[in-house]
Amino acid sequence: MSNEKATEDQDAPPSPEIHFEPIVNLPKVELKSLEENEEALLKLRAKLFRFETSGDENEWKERGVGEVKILKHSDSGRYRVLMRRDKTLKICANHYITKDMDLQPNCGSDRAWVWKADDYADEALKRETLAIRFANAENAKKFKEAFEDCQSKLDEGTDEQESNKLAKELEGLQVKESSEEKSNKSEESESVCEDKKRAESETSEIAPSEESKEPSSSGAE
Amino acid sequence: MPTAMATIEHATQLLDFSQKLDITLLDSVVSCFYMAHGPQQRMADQILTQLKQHPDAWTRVDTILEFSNNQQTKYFALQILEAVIKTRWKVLPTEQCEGIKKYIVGLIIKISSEAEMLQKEKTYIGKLNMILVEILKHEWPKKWPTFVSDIVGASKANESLCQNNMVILKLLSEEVFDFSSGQMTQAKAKHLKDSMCSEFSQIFTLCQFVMENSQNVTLIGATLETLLRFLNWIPLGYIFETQLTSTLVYKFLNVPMFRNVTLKCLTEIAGIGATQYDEQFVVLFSLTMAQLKQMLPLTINIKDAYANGKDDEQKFIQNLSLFLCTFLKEHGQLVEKKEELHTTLLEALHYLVLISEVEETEIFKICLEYWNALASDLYRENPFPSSTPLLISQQIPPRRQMYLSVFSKVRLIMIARMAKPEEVLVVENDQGEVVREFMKDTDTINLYKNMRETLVYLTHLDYQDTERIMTEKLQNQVNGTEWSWKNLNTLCWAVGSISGAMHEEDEKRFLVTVIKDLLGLCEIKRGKDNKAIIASNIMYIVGQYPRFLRAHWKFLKTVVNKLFEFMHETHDGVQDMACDTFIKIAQKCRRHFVQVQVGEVMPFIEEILNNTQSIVCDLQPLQVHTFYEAVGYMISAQTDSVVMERLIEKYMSLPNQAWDNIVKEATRNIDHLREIEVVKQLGNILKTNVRGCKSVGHPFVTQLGRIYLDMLNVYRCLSENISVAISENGEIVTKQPLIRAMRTVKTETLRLISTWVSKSNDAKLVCDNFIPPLLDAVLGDYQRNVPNAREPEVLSTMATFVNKLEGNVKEHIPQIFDAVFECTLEMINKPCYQYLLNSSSWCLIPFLEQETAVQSFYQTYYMMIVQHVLSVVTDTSHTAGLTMHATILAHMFNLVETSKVSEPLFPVGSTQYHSNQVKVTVQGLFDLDQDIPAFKEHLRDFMVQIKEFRSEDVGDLYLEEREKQLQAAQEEKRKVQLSVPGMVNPHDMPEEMQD
Repeated sequence: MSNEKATEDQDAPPSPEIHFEPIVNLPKVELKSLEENEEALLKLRAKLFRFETSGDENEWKERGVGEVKILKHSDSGRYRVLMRRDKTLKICANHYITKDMDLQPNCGSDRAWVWKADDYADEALKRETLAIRFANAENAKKFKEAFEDCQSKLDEGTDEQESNKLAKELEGLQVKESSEEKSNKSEESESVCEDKKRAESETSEIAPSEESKEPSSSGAE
Repeated sequence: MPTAMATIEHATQLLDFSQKLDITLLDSVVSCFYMAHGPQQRMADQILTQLKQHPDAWTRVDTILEFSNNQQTKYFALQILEAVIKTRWKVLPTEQCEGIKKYIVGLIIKISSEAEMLQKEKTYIGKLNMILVEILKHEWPKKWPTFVSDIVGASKANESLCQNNMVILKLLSEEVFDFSSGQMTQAKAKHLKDSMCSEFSQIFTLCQFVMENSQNVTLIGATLETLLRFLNWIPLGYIFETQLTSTLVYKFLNVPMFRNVTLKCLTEIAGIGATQYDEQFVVLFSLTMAQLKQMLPLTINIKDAYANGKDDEQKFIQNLSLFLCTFLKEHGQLVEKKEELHTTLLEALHYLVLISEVEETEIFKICLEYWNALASDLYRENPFPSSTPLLISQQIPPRRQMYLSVFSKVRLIMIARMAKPEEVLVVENDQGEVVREFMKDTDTINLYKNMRETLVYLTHLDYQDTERIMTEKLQNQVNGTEWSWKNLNTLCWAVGSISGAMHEEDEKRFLVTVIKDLLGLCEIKRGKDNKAIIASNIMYIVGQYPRFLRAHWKFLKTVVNKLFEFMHETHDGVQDMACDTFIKIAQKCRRHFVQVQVGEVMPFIEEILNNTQSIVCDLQPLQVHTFYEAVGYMISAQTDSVVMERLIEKYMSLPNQAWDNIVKEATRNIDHLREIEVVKQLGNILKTNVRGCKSVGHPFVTQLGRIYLDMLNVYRCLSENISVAISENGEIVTKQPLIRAMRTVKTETLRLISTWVSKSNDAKLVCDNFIPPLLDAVLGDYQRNVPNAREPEVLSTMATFVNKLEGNVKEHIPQIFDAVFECTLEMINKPCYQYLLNSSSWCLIPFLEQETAVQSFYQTYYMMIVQHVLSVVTDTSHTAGLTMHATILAHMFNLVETSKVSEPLFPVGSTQYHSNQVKVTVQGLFDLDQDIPAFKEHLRDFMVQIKEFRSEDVGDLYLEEREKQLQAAQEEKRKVQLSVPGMVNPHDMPEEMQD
C-alpha cells in the first residue's frame, strides 16, 4: 500500500495550497461492525452454501465467498460464526455455536463441512442447512477444531456450572428453621437435636472440622 | 277466621259464569290466597287456578280492573288477560280483540296522563304496558297499521304520557329485536323488524324533539333509555347523519344524572362497524375524550375513586371501561392512523390502565379482554422471535412503538394481580372418603388463562421488560417492601405463567435468578409458615419449567430429592405440594428418570424404587396413590419390555406384599375379610394398583395377572357379604363403614380392570385370559345380588369392554345381556332406580351395535327400552343425554324397519300428545333413523312441540350443540396457541412436543 501511494504522489505534483470544496459534503459516518465486543478466534477464507428446500428440487445454493470468523463475546462468553462476503462485506452466515451442532463431512470431501443452524444472516431467524468449503483439508480441520473447542467450552462453561450451583443452593432449602435459630425455641428442641445430629453426621464424613457449615450456607457463597 | 271460611264456601260461585261477578268475594279470595295459611290458602289457590283456566275468564277482566279495590286482584285479572292474549288471541272474535285493545289503551292513557298517578301506579302500569306489547305482537302492523303514528301523536299531548310511551316503545324494541329468537318464528320477527325500521323516522323525530326541548328530567331519562335499545338496530343514517352523537356528548354526557345511560348509548354506537362513517367515528372519539377529560382528570386515582365511590359512580367507571374498550377494539386502528389524535389515544389508554387497577374483577375482565386483543394483534402483525439472538439492533415496528409505555404498565398490572392458576377442592367421594380434586373450569382459572395469554403476548413483545418487572417485584419481596403471602403467590404464579415464552437461554438466566432470590428469601424469613409458603412457591415455579429441568439433570435430581424430603414434612400442605409437584415433573420429564444420566451409575428410577418405603412412609394413603401414579409415568417411558417388567415388579412389591399377606390369612380364615381394617387396606392396595395401571398402561398386565384371580375371589366373597348384610338388615346397612369399605373394594376392582382394558393393546389376550374369569365372578354375582347391592360400575365396565374390544367380545354378549340387562331393566321399572337408565343406556349402545342379540330379547325388552328411553328423553332433567338417547332410539327404530325384529311389537305412541304430532314424529323417526344428527334434530323438534304445549324454555335443548360449537372454537384457538411459544401451559402440552 505505502509503495503504491508513493508512486501516485510522484505522478501528480503536490500542490498543497489549493483547496477544493467538495460538491457534496459527505461527513464521516461512524460505522460499527457490531463485532466490537468480540474476539476473533479464527479467520479463514471459505465458500459457503446453503441447502435450498423451497424450490421444486432441493439443491445446494451458493451463499457467498469471503472470510469466515469464529467470534467470542467478551461479556456473555458466547461463540458465534460470522461470515461476510468479500468486498460488499454483507453477512452470509451469522449464528451462535451451540452444543447440539454437529459438523459432518460432505460427500467424502476432506475440506468441507455440513451442519444445521438457526441462522440470522438475513435478519430473521431461520433454520438452515449450511455447507462450508475451504481451500484445503488443513483449513477445514482448523475450522472444525476451533468450532468443537468452542462447543466443549460451552459444555463446561456457564451453563452447567450455573445450574449445578443452583442445585447446590436448592439442597439447602428447608421448611424447618435452621438449627441456630431453633435452639432458642425450647418446644421444638427434640427435633432440632435430631436434625443437628443428622447434619453433623452428613458433614462429618466430608469435612469433620467444619461442623457448623450447613449445605445451605455453602451454597450462598 | 270464620269470615274467610265462609268466603271460601261461597267462593265456588265465582266459577259460575251465569251469575254476575261478586267483586268483594273475589277480593277476599285473593287476599285469602296471599295472607292465609293451611287448607284455606290451598282452597283459595284451587279456586283461583280454576277461575284462571276457565275459557271465559277474560270476559270478567274489565269488571275486575274497574271495580276491585285490591291491587293483587287487579294483577290477577291482568294475568288472565295476558294468558288469553298469548295463547288464544287468534281464536277470539275480532270485535272482542278490538274491545280488549281499546280498553287497555284507554287504561294506559288514563293512568299515564298524570305524572303523579304514573309514579304511584308504577308496577300496575308496567304490567299494562307489557300486555299492550303482547297485543302489538299480534296486531301490529297488519291489523293496527297506525300504531306508530298513534303513539307518536299521543306523546305530544303531555310529558308524562310521552314518558310512558317511551317505555312502551322500549319494550316493543326489546321484544322484537332482543328476545324474538325462539319466541316467534323467524319470518314474523323479520316482518316486525322491517316495519319498525320503516316507521322509525317518526319515533326518531319524537326522541330528537324531547332531547332538544324538554326540561323534564324523568322524560329525558326515559327517552335516553329507549334510545339505547334502538341503537343496535336503527338504520345507521339516524346515528351518523344527524346531530345525535354531538347532542349526546355535549348535552348529556356531563350531566351526572344522564352520564351512565349516555355512555351506554355511546358504547352501543362505538360497537358499530361501518367503514363509510370512519370520519364520524373519529369525531365521536375526540369529542367524547375531550368531554371525559373535563369530567375525570387524567391524574385521578380511579382505583381509589371506585373503592370509595357510590353505586352510580362505580357504574360510571364500568361504563367508561366498556366504552373505551369497545371503541378501541372496533376503531383503534382508525385512530392510530391519525397523527394528531395520538395524544388523545394515549390518554384513552391511560384511562384504561387506571381502570385496570380497580379491584373489582368484573371491570378488570372488561379491560383484560381489550389488552389481550391488542397485544395479540400486535404480536401477530409481526411475530419475530421474542429475543433477538444476535446483537443486531431490531427496528421496532411503529405500531408497537406507540404502545411501548402503555404495555409496560399493563405488564406490571398483569404481574401484580395474576390470578390463581389451579384450584384444589377438598370433597367427599361416593365412598365417603375425603379426596382432593383439581378444578377445571372455574371463574378464577379462566381468568388465569386469559391473563396468562395476555402476559405471554406482552412478553413476546418485550421480554426484557417482563423480566425487569418480575425481577424488581421479587426484589421488593426480598427487601420487604411488598412482602406478603398473597403478593408472593401472585408474583410466582406470574413467573410460572410465562414458561416457554422467552428464548431458552434467556429463560434459563431469568429462572436461575428467580430461584436464587427465592432461596435467599426462604433463608432470611423466620417461621415455618413463611418458609413453607416460599418453598411451595419455589416448587411451583420449578414445576412450571420442565424445559429447564430436562436440560439440567443435576438440578432435576436435586429438585426430586428435595420433594422426597418434603414428603416427610408434616407442616400443613407441604406433603400435598410435594406430591403434586412430583407428579407434574414425573409426567413431563419421565424419560430422564429411566435413562442413565451423565455422572450416574444407574437410572434414577432404580433409586426411587429402592427407597420407596422410606419415601412414602409419612404420606397419607391418597398421597401415596399420587406418588405411585407419578412413578408409573416414569416406568411407562422405559422402552425395553424386559427391563420394564422388572421395574414393574419392583414398583409393586410393597403393595403386593401386603396383598399376599391378606390373601394368605383369608384363605386360612375367611372371616379375615370382615375386619374393617383389612378391608380398608384392600381398598387402598387396589387404588394404588388403579393409579399405577393408569400411568403404566398396557404393560401393567404382568401385575394385573399376578393378583387377578385372587382379586376376583375377594370380589365375590365381599359381594356375598354385602348381599347377605342387606337382606338381613335392610338397606340402612349400606351406610355402615364396613359395608362402604367393602363396596370400595368392589368398585376399585372393577375400575382396575376397566382401566387396564381401556389401555390394553391386545384384544385377544384380554378376551382369552381376562374376560372369562371376570364374567364368572362378576356377572353371576350381579344377577344374584339384591338390587341395592348391585354396582352401577359393573354396567360401565361392560360398556368399556364392548367399546374397546368390539367384535372380539361377541361370543360373550348373550351371557352379559342375560346377566346384566334383564335385572337392570327390571330395576329401572321402579322410579327409585331411574338414575341407572343413563349408565345402562350408555352400555346399551355398543351392545346393540354388535347385533348379536336374539329375537327373544327384542320380544321381551324392545318395548320396554323404547318406552324408557322415550320417557327419559321427554324428561327435562335429562336433556344432556340427548345424543345418546337419540342414538339408541334410532337404532331401535332401524331394527324394526329393516325387519330384524320379526316378532310383533306394539306400536309406539302416547295419548298425551296430539295424534297428528305423534304421527309426524313417528314417521320422522323411521325416516331418519340412519342419520343420527338429523334424527336428533327431529327428536328435538318433537320436544319443542311438547315444550310449547307446556310453554317452557327451549334453550336447554340446544345446549349440547352450543357446547360442541364452543369445543370446536376452543380447538381452533388451541391450534393457534400452539404456534406461539409459551402460549400453552407446559402441563397442557401434548406429549410429543415435549422431551
